Amino acid sequence: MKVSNFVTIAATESIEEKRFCAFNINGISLLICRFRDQYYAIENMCSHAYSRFDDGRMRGYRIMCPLHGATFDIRDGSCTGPPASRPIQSFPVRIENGMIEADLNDHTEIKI
Amino acid sequence: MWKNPVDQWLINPLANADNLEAKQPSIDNGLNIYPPGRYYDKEFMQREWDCMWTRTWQIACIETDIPESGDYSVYRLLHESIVVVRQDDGSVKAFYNVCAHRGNQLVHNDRGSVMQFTCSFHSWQYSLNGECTRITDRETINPALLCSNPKLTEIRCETHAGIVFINLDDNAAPLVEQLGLPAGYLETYQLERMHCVRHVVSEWAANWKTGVDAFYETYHLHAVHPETQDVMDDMGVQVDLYPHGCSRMLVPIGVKTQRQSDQDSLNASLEYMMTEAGIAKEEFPKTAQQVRGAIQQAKRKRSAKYNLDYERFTDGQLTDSWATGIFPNVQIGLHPEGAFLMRFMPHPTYPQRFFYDTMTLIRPVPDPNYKTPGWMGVPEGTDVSGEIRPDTEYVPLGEPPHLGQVLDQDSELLPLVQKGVRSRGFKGAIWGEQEQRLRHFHNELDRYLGEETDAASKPSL
Repeated sequence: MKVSNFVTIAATESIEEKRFCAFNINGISLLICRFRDQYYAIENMCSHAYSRFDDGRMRGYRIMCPLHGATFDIRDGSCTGPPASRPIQSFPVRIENGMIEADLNDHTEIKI
Repeated sequence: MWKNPVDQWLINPLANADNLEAKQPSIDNGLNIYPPGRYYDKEFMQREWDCMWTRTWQIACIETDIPESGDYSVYRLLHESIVVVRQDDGSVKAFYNVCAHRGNQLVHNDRGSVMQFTCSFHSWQYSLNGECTRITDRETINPALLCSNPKLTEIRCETHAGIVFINLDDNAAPLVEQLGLPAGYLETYQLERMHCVRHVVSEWAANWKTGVDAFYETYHLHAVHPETQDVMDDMGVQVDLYPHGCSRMLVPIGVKTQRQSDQDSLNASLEYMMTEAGIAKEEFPKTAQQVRGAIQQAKRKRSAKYNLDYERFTDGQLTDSWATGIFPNVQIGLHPEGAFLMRFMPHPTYPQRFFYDTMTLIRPVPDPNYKTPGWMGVPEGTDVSGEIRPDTEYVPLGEPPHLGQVLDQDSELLPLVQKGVRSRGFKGAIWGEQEQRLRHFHNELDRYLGEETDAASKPSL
């Protein structure tokens, strides 16, 4: 049976609409993205050249790698634009008492 | 002496000269029959590249596709890839999409947003204005090779009425001098407030001009799109020619074609258009001839309800399609609610193929009760908020574009026309006055190619 491990990340109001923030939780770098008052958690590393997204841009449900422009869907981590071809990891999110929580149990280290 | 009846087809006979509906003075483009090789010769294709594509203003994207600093959009023209990018000061610049180092393409997506461009080959970087800001391991490159200060190669770029134009010719006249449409023509539609909600690029087995020719006339509607006859008067289309190869058709919608003897009884298509305009069934007018006016009145009411500012439009603009051609390869179907921006893009290798590139633009209305008109063909569930720019859908050769019945019909027909044009039995098109936009377009093309005919040798207006 799958065991979830929801970890509190931040208060919902700490992330502006159409913006994202990077967090380091238990050694994992992840992004919390907000669009249309929904929150999404993805790993903070592009699957192409392993750059972080901190200086990237978000448009709608899409985040763009600042280095070479690869794009990913913040809802499920799927790759939506080259030069990347592989997805990034996404994490389940829930809101509890105004706090964003993400289930990091399934996190797997990228093997570079 | 033969009198051209089409010049008497007026959308608004009372329009003053300063009214955008006013009939334009006619232009004598002669009666040439062009050799059909222009539709399939590789040599002709090469001359188009050398003399026309590299010298004309072309629509690269719309401004709402690149709203913020660093937002970019890629325009592909034959073998070239051009990146158009919003600057920090709000202006727009265009560059060849190529790193000065080894020629790698800088961006790989149709659209995106960056703080700077970073080449994926050796990490050279460029600022949004094209300056080279990082050369990796610079000390390992002989300075003599860098004295020319490598940077992105800039291309002429200007914006007009919410549209971004580029021109590969450094010496080209300013856009405003080359755009043949009168001031205010495009601006009225406020394209800068419209957003792309669907973008399809479909490859068709025909020359790009075969595409332009088909979309530049309504003469074929009765044969190819008979379903339009119940709601569109192809015998009442006002055709106007503008300088520099531009032209338009004002297509009355909400009326039956004059080819039908019964001009009174309503039909399902007219009832659909009235329902779309918000007219209740019990308020339908009694005769078909009153429908267009009823729709116009209903749209005025809708404008007042949703603050759409339709006061800037004539009654005709509220119902009719203002199908406007911008030389060389664009037709925009203009409506108050949105627009259909069509680009006929040549294939980089084969003259008998082109890409039908069409964007559906919608003006978002932030009211949950407002509905995008069904006749705009936006698929169910499409986000019309303007917040999400959809990916471009690419449709390969031989598949219908699934853009609605009319366009699927065109996509079926054009490859057949292209095959026939290639035949030794075809001596060149015989264009009537319903097709006068085609002659105007081809004459302008020939001016660029230096193939001026007697009539076309008159200076471009």
